[in-house]
Amino acid sequence: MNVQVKSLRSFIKTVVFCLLTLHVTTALPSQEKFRSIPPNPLPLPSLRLPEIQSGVLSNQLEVFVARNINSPFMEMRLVIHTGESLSPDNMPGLATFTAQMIAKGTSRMSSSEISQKIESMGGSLSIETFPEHSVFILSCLSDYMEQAIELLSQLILQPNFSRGDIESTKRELFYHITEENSSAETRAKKLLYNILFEHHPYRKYALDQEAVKLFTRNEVLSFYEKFYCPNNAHLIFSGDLSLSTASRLAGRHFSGWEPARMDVYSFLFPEPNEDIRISFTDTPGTEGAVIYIGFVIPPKEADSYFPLLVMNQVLGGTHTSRLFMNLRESKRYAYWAFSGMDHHNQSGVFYVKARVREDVITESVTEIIKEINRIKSQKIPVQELESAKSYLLGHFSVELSTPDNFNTYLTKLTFLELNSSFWENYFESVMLVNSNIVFQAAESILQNPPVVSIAGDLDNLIEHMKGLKEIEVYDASGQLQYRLTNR
Amino acid sequence: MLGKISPGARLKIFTPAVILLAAAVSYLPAQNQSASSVSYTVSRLENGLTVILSEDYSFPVVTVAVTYLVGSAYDPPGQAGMAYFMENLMFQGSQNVGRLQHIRMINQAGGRLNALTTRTRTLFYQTVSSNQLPLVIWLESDRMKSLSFSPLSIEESKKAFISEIRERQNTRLFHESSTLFERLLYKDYSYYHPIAGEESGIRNIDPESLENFHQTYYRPNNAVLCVSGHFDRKQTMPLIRKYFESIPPEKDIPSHEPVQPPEPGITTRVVNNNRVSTPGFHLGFPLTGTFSKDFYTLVLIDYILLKGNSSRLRKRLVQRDKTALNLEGGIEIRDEFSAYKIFLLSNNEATKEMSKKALFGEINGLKSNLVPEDELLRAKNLFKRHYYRRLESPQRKALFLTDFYINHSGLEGFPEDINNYMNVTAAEIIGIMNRYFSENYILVDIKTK
Repeated sequence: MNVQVKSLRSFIKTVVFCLLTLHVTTALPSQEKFRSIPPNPLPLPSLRLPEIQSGVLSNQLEVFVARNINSPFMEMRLVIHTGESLSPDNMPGLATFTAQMIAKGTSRMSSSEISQKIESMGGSLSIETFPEHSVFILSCLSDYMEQAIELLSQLILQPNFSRGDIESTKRELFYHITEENSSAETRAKKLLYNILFEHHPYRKYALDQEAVKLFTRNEVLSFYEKFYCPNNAHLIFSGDLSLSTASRLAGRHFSGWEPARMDVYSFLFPEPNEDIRISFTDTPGTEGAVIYIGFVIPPKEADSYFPLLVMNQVLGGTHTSRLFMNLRESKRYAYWAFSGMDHHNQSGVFYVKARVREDVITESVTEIIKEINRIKSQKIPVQELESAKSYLLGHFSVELSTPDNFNTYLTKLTFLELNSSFWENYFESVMLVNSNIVFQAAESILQNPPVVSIAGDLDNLIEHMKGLKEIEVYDASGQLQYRLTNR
Repeated sequence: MLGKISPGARLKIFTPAVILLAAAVSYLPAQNQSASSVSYTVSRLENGLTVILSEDYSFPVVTVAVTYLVGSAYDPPGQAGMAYFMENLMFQGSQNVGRLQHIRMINQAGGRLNALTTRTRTLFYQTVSSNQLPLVIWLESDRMKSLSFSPLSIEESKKAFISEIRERQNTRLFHESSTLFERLLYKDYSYYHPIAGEESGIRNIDPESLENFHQTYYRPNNAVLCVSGHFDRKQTMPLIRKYFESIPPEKDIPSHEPVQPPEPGITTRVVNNNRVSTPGFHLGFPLTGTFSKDFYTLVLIDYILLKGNSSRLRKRLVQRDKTALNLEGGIEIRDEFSAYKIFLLSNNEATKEMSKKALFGEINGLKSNLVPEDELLRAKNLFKRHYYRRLESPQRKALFLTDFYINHSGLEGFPEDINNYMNVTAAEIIGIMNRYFSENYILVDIKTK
């Protein structure tokens, strides 16, 4: 159907013009009294999430089930507890590549046969790799549970890694990274990871297209053999099935998977920079510039998580948060400005991102840093804090109400090994956050000098970056090219 | 309770996450449902507003969707873009809600909202925590009742719209060929002009015509309100009555001219496109009788030809022959009239011609040979997946139920609807292929320098 979908952003774009104009009300009809004020909300309802049960197979594969009565779908998520951070140092991307290769063929099936089989089950397969894990998501119509898990097990246990598939997948990944690199937003974020985690394995999360050329069958096979084992994985079922059914299915199709010796990897927390670092990467043809400003944060813990969540909301969670209101609505520097957090097992990232006009690049960096300093030096006024909390309370259920989001949440819950009270107490934990706690959290999280990464067209921007002291210029692979010094 | 699950199994159990902050109904989690388990009621208020209520206690959220039976096909002569402009205006304030306040209030409540204009409909929907249902009912009723806007703000919005139209014209790589293709396929201007309007049309919009448009079409008897999710029907109906029932209906809502099919026969045109280096073509077969019995078969034909990686055209043109760089298409419904559209891009003229030949070869193959059983099953199951996904959250359910209600003038056929598709046979496919995919199509060829 040919329809015109329009985002909230474009409503605002249009509507914002009107804020500046004089408002003349047209003749309006008389009305009942109750219409003049918004009605009160009803009591906040309880949120009861589906029960999550788990068991372990004899080969140490842990199985989780979130039962979802009446669901016409069954979804399985196999999580391998190794991601980009354990790719060899000279081969960032090998974890991603190995995961992609899983769907490219088994000893019995070609990739097109796999894809046909999945569609015949009314299913879909997607594969994602993160710094510390890869997820294989296979879903199907409930009638095809048995066939789907059989297929998943064949994919994971009997990959073919044929040389032909490896070469074609290398081309796919190469072009994927090339395309990704043409987006200023992706490049700025990758650069942020490159600098924040300069001497840390998370750096490899920023994939490098040149490294793809180095991948060989041996490298893929050795990565697979080392990390694809049941004691380094877990399997999550979501659908109308019980734990006993799930365990029976998993037992039947995964019990032949042999456990292996797994080394424990733990990384040191990255060393903070002594001073603010400003980095730049050239993306010719970009209109304006994308800025990321980031800080490394500790792993997700209940103590600091909720205050940070509220802080993020006040600073840049939505279109009504400080960054958007200041950089876009008031100063007119930005097309958009938000903040957010990435959580990984061993540390995370808190970042601000904005797309700004090229002539105000320096002013925008200054203004964002001003906002960051404000939130760590002044307590948030009560009304602003409560409004951020009310957003978070309402949004949690809204967010979880789509199965895709719910299942992503399940992966986080099981992978980050958060105990269930973390989520059970979500509402209460948000409600208990006050200005003092946010202030302490902001002070501690944002105390080190930040890393600034900028992506844009260097020729257009160079004139406007004179106000920034020293700029490190990097290429698309994250290699330092030269420094621009403005005196 | 759990039994022993497998040898050596270790059991642990997460307690269900129960968050109790106020007295609340308890319920069994049921995240998504098949069509037969979707519950709903349909009623009509005295002023003609259709109300669909569909309770689902999976999560404490609620979606409110208001759909007006007006879209770009109703744009007044000389004012192409009016319906889309009105969609935007609906966020600019009403008698009791200030500018931006609708967006701001939903946002502060942690909710999500969006709006959409099609040829024949304009819809607004928001999903919020279920305790905020009264707020949304109030907001929607206020902007149905009356809008509040200033002439100056209209002028500012018009400028923004015009600049967007220009930007689209400059950036859409296939603007010229698509525009021609649309014009040949849908003879009537009201059906082929861009939904977002044209510069001249936007210029002609004035406060008076907007006021008229709102007063004519944004009326309760021209709208469907659907509430889906976690709410109590007994409390919600009185709430809806309170806010909506006193909004006066419009006696004479004009209907638009029914759309006419294109001239029968084969129409071909060539467009030179200097913006791109890849030649291609637009191909369109006119279809009639939207939601007639033929329609269900046509949908499955689309799944066999073009939907999914294992569809015939994708396997042949993209994967095997590698003559198509880009291939997209499907059934497009524009009210009583619809079309099967295909858009293809290729490396060069030679591969484009090869693609075209192979494409017609695949179409002709479907006219004479029965689709094998396993291939038909793949098509049906993939379709079923997409169908059920449209029911899997309160928001999707609200939009689907409304869409179904309007398409079929009621929900009576809803529980069994999926079977209309599942019962399609291979023999019927041959019949329908011969009826619609004949010497009756529009082809716009894109040549590059």
